[in-house]
Amino acid sequence: MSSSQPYKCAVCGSDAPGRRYRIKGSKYICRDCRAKLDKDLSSGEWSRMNAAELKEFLSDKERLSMQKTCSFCGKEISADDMHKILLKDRSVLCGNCAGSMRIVRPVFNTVKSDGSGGYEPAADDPLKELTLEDVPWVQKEAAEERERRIARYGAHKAVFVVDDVTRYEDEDDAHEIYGTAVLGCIEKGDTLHIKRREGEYSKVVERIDPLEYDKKAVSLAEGCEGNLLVKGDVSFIYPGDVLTTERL
Amino acid sequence: MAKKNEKGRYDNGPCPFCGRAIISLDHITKLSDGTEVCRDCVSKIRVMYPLVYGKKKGKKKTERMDPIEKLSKEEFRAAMEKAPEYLEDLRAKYGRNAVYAVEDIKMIPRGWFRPPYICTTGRVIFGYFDIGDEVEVVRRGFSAKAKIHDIERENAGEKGSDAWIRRGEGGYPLKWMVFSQKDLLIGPGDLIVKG
Repeated sequence: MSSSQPYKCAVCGSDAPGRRYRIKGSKYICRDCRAKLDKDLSSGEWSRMNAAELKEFLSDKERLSMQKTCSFCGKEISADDMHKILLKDRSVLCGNCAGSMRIVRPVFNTVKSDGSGGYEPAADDPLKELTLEDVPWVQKEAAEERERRIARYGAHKAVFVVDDVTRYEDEDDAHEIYGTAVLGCIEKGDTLHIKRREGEYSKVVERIDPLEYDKKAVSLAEGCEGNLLVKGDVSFIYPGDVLTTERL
Repeated sequence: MAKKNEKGRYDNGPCPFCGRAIISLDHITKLSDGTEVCRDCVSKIRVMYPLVYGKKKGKKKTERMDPIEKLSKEEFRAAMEKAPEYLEDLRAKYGRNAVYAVEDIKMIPRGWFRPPYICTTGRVIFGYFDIGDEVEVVRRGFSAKAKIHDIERENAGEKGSDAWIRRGEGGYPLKWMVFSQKDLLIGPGDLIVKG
């Protein structure tokens, strides 16, 4: 089929002459649908999805953008709320309500095929499997877990558990500390402390790279995994170490 | 080749200790009772149970001998609780942040006026070592400063991401840690320390 012949867009169903873009299942989408997808996905990602997956993605996106208030707390959802989520029953939760449950329902970071014989990171969000009815008991479960962690680590603004420490290739004398914010939210500029037998060490967080899909995030939210960039020597930090911010 | 699960992902479900994905592309550590554990949880107790590559009796091939695989789920959980204290003991014993024990060395000449490559094999007792790190060679009554030229972790050609890891990590043996500088003396039994 030449590009000038008319065809039916597999997503919106319109008869769209002109330029078409191939998706999985040897079908095509129109220029308008591609423009909508390009805002959130790379061309490699959407071209590996079939028509049903693309339709679901766009309808979820539309539902998320249309709802202006949180289905649970009723507060207004700001336009730049990157943590808002669509539940299984198509209700929308604001970032605050979703974030309060993340401690017991963290994002499941795994790996998928990139379509060309390689692999790429993938994330499954267990909160999306909940309905609005589940939210109160999951929030209660989260509050109990938070109390348990406060009893274990102490009342700090944030607590971070280290998994790995690597040298940051692009900057001299910089290291990335990979791990999970097990309690509270870590922000750029926070000072992290670690107690060793001989004394206490401190490091300032220069930058944060959360592992989840919200690449533009400037903080590492409770229950989320990510990299903290720090400068100077970090040879006193090991896997399993607990880094804390100031006490509350 | 790794198999996809029913969701089209390459993982074997959540780790029983931390809840994170056990990625099936990595080498998966299986405990004595069949429990699979993620790489991050293994790295937290690796200093207590160093990984060994060796030949079993009557076999010619070098194999991975992981003492963690002999632990049960309860023993693994107990080890995770004890690991921070064990690490503090090691730090107190050596008085450093990272220690690598040299087991063997090999000199590779590089021609006129160029210092030879000093290739050491051994194991990282605890801490991290990266290429370019400023370290100290410690022997009884002697110490010298050195810079790490190259590192590669021992892997014996096994599946997973242990292959081509260009850094040293506590509890893992190294295929080589290479130095290249004039008048540097390193021998088996020496310690390379950092911090």
